[in-house]
Amino acid sequence: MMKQLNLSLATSMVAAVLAGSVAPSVAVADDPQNTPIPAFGSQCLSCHGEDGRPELADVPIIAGQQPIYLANALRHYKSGERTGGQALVMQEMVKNLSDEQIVALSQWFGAQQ
Amino acid sequence: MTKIKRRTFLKGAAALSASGALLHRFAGGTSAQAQEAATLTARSPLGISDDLFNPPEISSINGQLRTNIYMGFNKVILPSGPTILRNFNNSLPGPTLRINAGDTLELAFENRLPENRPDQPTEVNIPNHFNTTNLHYHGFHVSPKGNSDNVYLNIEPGEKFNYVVQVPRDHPAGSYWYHPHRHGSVSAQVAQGAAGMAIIAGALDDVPEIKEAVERVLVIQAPIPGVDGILDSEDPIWPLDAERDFLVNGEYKPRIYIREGEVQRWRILHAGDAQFFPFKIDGLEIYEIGRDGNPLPEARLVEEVHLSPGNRVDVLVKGATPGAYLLRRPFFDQGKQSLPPVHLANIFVIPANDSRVPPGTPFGREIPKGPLPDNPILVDITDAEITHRRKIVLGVEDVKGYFHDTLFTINDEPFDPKRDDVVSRLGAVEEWTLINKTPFPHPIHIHVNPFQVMSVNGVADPDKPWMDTIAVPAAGTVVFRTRFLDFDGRYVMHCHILPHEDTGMMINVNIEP
Repeated sequence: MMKQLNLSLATSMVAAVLAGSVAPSVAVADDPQNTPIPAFGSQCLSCHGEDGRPELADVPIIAGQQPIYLANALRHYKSGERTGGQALVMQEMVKNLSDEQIVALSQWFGAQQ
Repeated sequence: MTKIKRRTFLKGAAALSASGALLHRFAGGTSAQAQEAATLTARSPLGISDDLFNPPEISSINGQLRTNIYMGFNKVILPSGPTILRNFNNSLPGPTLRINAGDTLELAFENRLPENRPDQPTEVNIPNHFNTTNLHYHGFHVSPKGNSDNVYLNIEPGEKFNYVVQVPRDHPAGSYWYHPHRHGSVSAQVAQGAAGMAIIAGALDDVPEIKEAVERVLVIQAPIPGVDGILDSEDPIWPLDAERDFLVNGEYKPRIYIREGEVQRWRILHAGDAQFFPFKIDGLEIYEIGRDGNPLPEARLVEEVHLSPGNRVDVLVKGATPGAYLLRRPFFDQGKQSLPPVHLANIFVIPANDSRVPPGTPFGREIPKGPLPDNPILVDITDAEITHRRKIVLGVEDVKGYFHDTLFTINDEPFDPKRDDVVSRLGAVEEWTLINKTPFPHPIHIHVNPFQVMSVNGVADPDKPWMDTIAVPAAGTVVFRTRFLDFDGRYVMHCHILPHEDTGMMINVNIEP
């Protein structure tokens, strides 16, 4: 179990180093599909999967989802407009994200095929 | 209590032949010296020599259960070979304690383990000091202070401690249990089998159909041996998918007999340390009648029974057509972790007049119809009663320097014995929302006060069951309500995947007078 979690974080951190930036960045690369997720989004992968395809049966597939839809969903979690049940989990995950970071993550997941 | 059952031990053959295999001690120990208590040796409730034995039992007399309980090394043969475990009273599992509400438990406890090795971690959330221990009375609604259900005690090797636990007269009846709870060594000791059932009589026991049924106690455990003898490292326990040989009452794939047409009452305790244990018996009817000791509204036929570590379930099992049946855990996913099937026991339905069963043995035949009795003090908590609401967030972080660089957290903090995470007052009635940010379920247990489950993942539970341990689903939520009415003092809430508890997933609850 821990191996998987650590692997997720380690993968994203190593990839961030290789990309030349350890600090959180909101810049999105030209080819997002082949770019590692921004470091501030590494926690998304533990439930939504390395490529946006989750291993948990009740977590949505967000790989290839429309970026505008994803960004609006994340904003609604953050504002508390989406609430109750598992939405409470997402509220916790996004509460410290800036709008720029929300957009960057939405574009990254939207670009995964 | 020291009775040794003789049976062939052959793991592979047992799997193939569906015959039970004994994991007997190869060195007997002294039995608990009951002083003011009645004792029963381990025995088959049907009187059949190769039937699953109920664990040894110690019962109260005249409102008092006074006995000796000790923690020590116990030589056993597991399916993986001979080893030495840390157990209570040389017994795997420990003796069942049976009392009535209003009784007093007086346990003269002794830690007979040898000194800890000197090279112990000093950080509180790294597993440490596996030979230091204490006792927790899981599910008991009793004082958390002094020499009652006080889990902040460190009972060091060679030390003795007298526990006096006053059980209230209105204590809910049901199936509870006891186990060590010293932060740092909980997982190691429970994972080795230091646990026993504790029964508070009443409620379901008085239902006529249940009263006339044979009662079994089934303690499910998966003892983890040390790599080269005595377990002195958390490593063999740590992986969720570590190979585990599940036992019932210390036996590997035991036989359990039921007579044709018979209904038996089973009290089942999941005393394992990490893996959930959903189970089914293909071909036989299982009716759930209670969870964590508390009665359900009525007996319910179920396909599968769900147990997370720490949970108890009371079921009625009905013997149908004579033959052999498997009690098994199916393949399932515990969050992101796939876990393999487990063949736990072999159920044999035998003729109703089998000559091995002595005359006069109880023979239940009916499933109770209609409502089951309530535990009177467990009254639904209404919206109007709520005095405070809290959010409890379960998480995990990678932090260098900790065990496997991992810290489990509650509200973003690992356990700190000095910090009061929840402060409330006697008379408060609270609603807590538990939010799990991790991709694995966490069975959360709170001491002293049971809670009423309102919803899971936002879906209301129409039964609103009273429990003391509830699995918060992976990336999911649970809402429960609880009353702080009777006992002030400080106690804990934590994950009952015990390696998570020892590595940080625990908080202090301080109820002020």
